[in-house]
Amino acid sequence: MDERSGMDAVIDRARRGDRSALGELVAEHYARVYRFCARRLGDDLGQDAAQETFITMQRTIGRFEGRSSFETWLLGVAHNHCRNLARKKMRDPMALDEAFESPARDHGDHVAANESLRCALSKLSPEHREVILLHEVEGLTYAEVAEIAGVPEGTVKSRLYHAFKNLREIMCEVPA
Amino acid sequence: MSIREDIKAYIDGELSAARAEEVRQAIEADPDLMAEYTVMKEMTSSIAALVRQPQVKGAEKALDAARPKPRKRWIEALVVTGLFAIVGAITIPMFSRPPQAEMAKLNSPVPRDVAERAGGSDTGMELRESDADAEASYGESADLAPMLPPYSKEKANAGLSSLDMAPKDRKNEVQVPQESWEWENYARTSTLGIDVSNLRDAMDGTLEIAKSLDGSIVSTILTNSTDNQARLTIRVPSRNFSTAAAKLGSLGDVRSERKQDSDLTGQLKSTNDRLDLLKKEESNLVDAKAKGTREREDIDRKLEQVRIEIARQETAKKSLEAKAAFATITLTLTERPH
Repeated sequence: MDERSGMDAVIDRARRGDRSALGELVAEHYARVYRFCARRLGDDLGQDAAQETFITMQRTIGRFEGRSSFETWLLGVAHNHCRNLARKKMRDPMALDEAFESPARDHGDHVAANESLRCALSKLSPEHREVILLHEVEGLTYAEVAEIAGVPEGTVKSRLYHAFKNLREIMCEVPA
Repeated sequence: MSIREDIKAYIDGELSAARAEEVRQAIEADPDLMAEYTVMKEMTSSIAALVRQPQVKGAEKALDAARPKPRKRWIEALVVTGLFAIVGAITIPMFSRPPQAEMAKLNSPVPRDVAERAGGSDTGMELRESDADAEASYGESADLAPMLPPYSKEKANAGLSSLDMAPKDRKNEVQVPQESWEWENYARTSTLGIDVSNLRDAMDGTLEIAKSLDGSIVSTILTNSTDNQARLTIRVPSRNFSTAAAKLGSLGDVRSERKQDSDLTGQLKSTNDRLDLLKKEESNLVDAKAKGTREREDIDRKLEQVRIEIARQETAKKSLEAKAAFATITLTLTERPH
């Protein structure tokens, strides 16, 4: 049994209510989900969102139909929790403040360039920041971003192109 | 979509092979496209280099929430007990209902003439001087079954018999009824109230009777401030129950007597069936564990649960068997005023 089909079997058991399988899924995916949430909301709120995500997973795993990968489905759940929690806390759901290393960690010749990039990223529209977050920060494919954001794959491609185009223009305007 | 718009997708490797080749050739041929490609590629790398890698926190909490919770065993025990009670109530009358004649023998004060007509003395039937009411109730027929008073019939049909009576007098001769195999799985109890002329002598006599029938006195309480009353609890093997009750009755005048027989056959059968199933399940789990599947941890957990349940059922079975093996007689001896 390869790793993939092994995990499919675990998912199948979890869908039938096997709690030990649910535990295996948490162990397998927690780090990924936590980082996803922490990069959106910061460490503390991100932890809350990650916990909520797994509670939702346990409740709704029966609805997982396997159209996307399990991880994508789980990140979709986390994405919604992050958005809802940010709104509750009156924060921008697509803020990039927590996604990148703090300027204090910058060093050498890159200090000014990085600061300029951060500043430019924060000036993007929410839709552009969303695709930057999901694709550039989280490393998801266009198809996965489309699944989570609920838009066609072509839209993801287009938004990314325009996000980068805008980013370049903004960076030119902001003195390094 | 233009070549320019596909540059980002080309960098990300999200184009088909044919389209990627088309874009590559266009970039190489056009310095403007090449400049845009170079800038986008640098920006992509810069953003990736800035991505924060938070230290993971709270994994244990999430795992705890997902782990199987230890079930509330007292709730299970209550549910199982409740189910046994329901199943028992349904199955007791079905499984082993003592013959009505047997019930009549053991529960009814049978008038001497009726018993004699029915061959009572030959069959070891307990004989008593009957009172007028008893005579009027069932003194007309020699057939024992119809002689059961209506309330006793109902109780006999429910697998439970009890009788309160206060005979005015009692024969000195002790006639011991034969025990029947049909009482094998019954929890038998009796409460006797006896007026005696000397309390100490009666207590000594009780001890002798208990010993002679392989039983014992499990408790003795002097219940009156003037020490003229004692309550004793006697346990005797169930096979000697009727003998013990009859012999104890000879210690004095029986003021009250109550017998109760609860059939445990249904409960024992249910317990045995459940044990068989659990042992089969245990054997299957042991086999599955030996095969070394990925679900070893799950199997260990299930095995533990099954073994706990087996231990519980075996305790219940032993308790039922002990109930059936020994009968309890509660005796209240009251010394008559001199």
